[in-house]
Amino acid sequence: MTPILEVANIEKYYGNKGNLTKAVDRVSFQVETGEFIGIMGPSGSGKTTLLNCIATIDTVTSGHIRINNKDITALKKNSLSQFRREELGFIFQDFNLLDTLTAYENIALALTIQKKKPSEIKQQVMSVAKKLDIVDVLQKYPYQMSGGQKQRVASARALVTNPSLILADEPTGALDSKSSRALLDSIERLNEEYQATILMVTHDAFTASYAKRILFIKDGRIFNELIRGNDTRKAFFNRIIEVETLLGGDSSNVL
Amino acid sequence: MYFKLAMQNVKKSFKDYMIYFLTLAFSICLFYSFNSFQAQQAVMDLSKGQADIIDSVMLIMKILSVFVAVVLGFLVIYANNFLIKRRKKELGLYTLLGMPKARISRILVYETFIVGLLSLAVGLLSGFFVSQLLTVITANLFEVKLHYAFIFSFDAMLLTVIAFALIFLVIMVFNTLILNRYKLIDLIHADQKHEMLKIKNIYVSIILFVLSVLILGYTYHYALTQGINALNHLEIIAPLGILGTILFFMSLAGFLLRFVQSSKSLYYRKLNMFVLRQINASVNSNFLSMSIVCIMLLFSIGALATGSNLNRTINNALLNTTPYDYTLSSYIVDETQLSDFSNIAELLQLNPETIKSESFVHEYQSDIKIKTYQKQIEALLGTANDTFYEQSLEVISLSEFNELRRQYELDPIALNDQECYVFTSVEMLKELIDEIITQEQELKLYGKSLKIQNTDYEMINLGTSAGTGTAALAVVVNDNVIPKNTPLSSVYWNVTLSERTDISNFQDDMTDKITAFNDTADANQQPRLNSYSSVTAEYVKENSKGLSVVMTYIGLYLGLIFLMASAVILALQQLSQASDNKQRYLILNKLGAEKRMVNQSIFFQLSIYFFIPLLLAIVHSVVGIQVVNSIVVAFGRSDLFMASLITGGIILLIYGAYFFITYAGYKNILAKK
Repeated sequence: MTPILEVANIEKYYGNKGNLTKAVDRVSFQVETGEFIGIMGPSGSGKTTLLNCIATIDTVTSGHIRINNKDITALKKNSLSQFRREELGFIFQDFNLLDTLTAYENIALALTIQKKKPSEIKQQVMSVAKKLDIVDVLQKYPYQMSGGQKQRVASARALVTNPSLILADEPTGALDSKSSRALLDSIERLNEEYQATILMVTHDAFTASYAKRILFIKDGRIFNELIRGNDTRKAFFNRIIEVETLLGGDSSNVL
Repeated sequence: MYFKLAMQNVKKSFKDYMIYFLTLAFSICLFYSFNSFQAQQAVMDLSKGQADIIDSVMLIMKILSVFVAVVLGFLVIYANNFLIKRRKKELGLYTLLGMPKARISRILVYETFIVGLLSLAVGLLSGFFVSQLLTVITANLFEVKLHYAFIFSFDAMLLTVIAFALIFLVIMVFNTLILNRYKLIDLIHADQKHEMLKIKNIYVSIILFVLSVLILGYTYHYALTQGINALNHLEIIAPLGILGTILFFMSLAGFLLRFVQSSKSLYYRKLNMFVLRQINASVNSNFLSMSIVCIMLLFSIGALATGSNLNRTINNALLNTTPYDYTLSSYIVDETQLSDFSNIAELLQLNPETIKSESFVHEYQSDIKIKTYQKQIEALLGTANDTFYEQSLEVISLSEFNELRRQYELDPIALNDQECYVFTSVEMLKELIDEIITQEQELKLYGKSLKIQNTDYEMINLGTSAGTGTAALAVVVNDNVIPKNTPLSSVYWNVTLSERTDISNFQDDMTDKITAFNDTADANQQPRLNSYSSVTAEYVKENSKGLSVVMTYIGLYLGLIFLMASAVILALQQLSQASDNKQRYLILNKLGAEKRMVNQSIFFQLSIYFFIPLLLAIVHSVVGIQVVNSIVVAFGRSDLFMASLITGGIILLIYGAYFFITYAGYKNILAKK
């Protein structure tokens, strides 16, 4: 099977000669089609920088990122936005829904940006709305929706363009635990039933436990890798906690 | 150190300052130019009368300038407010670092000072050039020769500097006050405040929109049918027009949204949906300013068009109202008046050498009273007074009429004893005469039926006059049709003066001579000159030139100021909303919208804000100018085409410049991290 995402030895430096910060330090990994991969790490570990580089929002200092066999580090600015809208879908922590548009229009916007034919739009929006169970909120504005509904609308927007890769940045960061669970259930279903490839960045062990494989990052480097295999989610969750302890994450920095 | 900091701030936020700077420089330029008339006199050959006109133009401009300075003051404060808002966070940082407010306001004072000085320099410099241009325009208006030389008006410069120094002083005080009002927490979180969104019911918008169109339509209809009377009914037209305009902008966004939504292929095309929703969402904070801008633009267009039109109109009319060098005419009421003008020169003891040639026009009374046409006249002029209706159609003999036509270089007409020729020289009565010519076959005069021979006519005057036309409803008949002893209505003595005559003093001389004549006539109980008019062509020309020069400059000055003010208000409002909308555009960017597509949407959005008020203002002014035009025709035929061309050019230039600067600034704000 060919990898859909291939990160090869990338580095991202900030600052200048005298004061150099290596936000991402020689990171390499691959993501296969249909995979659900999580990236974990404490604040400042470089996970968001890594995601931004893959998302083509930021550029790498060295190394290559290939998505669908296309080297995005070699693309020009204009083809980057084209690539972004055709190959990638985004789910953000703070939803990033446009408050002026209804849910339906927010989802449709991703298609109009792609210059899709207006006649196709309705059918595509409805089909993705059914998958995420948001058909009854389509005519509502973001301010009329709950956090969970908003994030599902945002997920629908990410999915509607049939991207090769969905990038989720702390998708449950702004949700309560009940909504988080509901959202993660639907993301999991997208992955299992519709074979969507998902790369999710989080620092929350529970959220991460929904992934099939987890990369741990610390100080810009890959520190560890966990594969769920046939574990139940609970067992996988416990293994994640173990690694976190080892990693010196949240609680053990206190000495 | 603070000065250095201020210097850096100005450099750093130069693009933000651009609009502020441009507005200031432009205001200063206008202010200087329109106050520099004194200096213009030096380079032109002006007669005493023309110099007097320049003096009165200067006085009017000075008075207007006070008003303009107040308007500009508010405009500059508005622009300044925008700058402070943009920099809240920066100011918050200074406070956070422990800088006392007094020092921060000192930095702001320095900044205002730097920008003020810079714009004063640029504004005055461009003012020098614009005032050269105005000199050419003045020379053109007066039709005098220009000895070209660079002019500089120290008075105007002083006035400009004082006015703007005052404005800057107000701003400095204002900034300090504003700074003291802000709380630190607000300054630091300035960019995180979100406008609460309230989505209004779209159907309400549609109903309001239809209502606004109906109101405007009715107002237009009302104004147009009233014609020249419309100005007397402003208390109905103005509130209705304003109400219609406000409702129009209040409901426009909702209506546009609903309208475009009905076409799926248009609504879901690129970012159309986004733009329309965006406009609809901010309609509450925008509709009032759009309405105000629309009304200001209306004033601006009206002032510019009238300003550039009146001069042309008057020039055309002048050729028509001044056929002879001098005319003495008298309206005959009773026998105590002198009606026999045959040896008038001798009676007035005028040196025969001053006269090159003379001719007479006699208007006779007839048995058709003007009252006959009361209905039509009321429709054209509104109410006229009773004495006018009591007068009769004026009858002129063919020989005298053909003599007049010769002076106008027109071919003589021929009539037999059963025919007559009907005409007027009053523009406003043209429709009535046209109606008489086309619909009535004949006129009954002196007991005879006379066939109306002409189907067309030239609007010529019976002599030189300062009024609006000498023949109201005039009939030309063969000399022998007029019975002997028919009472006269008026007499015209038309004179072409010889080259040796001192024309500029001729009118005053005549006034003295007429007074002297009347004194002797009274003493001897002889007929005297009553209700007479004694004017030279030169006097008429200078008088109306004066009016046209004054009106042209008032129009240009106010028109330009209003135009600039409306463009600035729109520009600043859009730019301050640009920072509020940044988050939304960031999302578009993350979703992979092309830069080109985003720019198009910004362009589209700004176009709606800038050009819809302009469009409505143009529609308003087309109606308005129709009405005003019915008054301008009182001075003669007007040339609307040229006026609209000039007005359109000026508006396109200034309004367009602000539009593009706003567009560039908008993109710039969004591009900033």
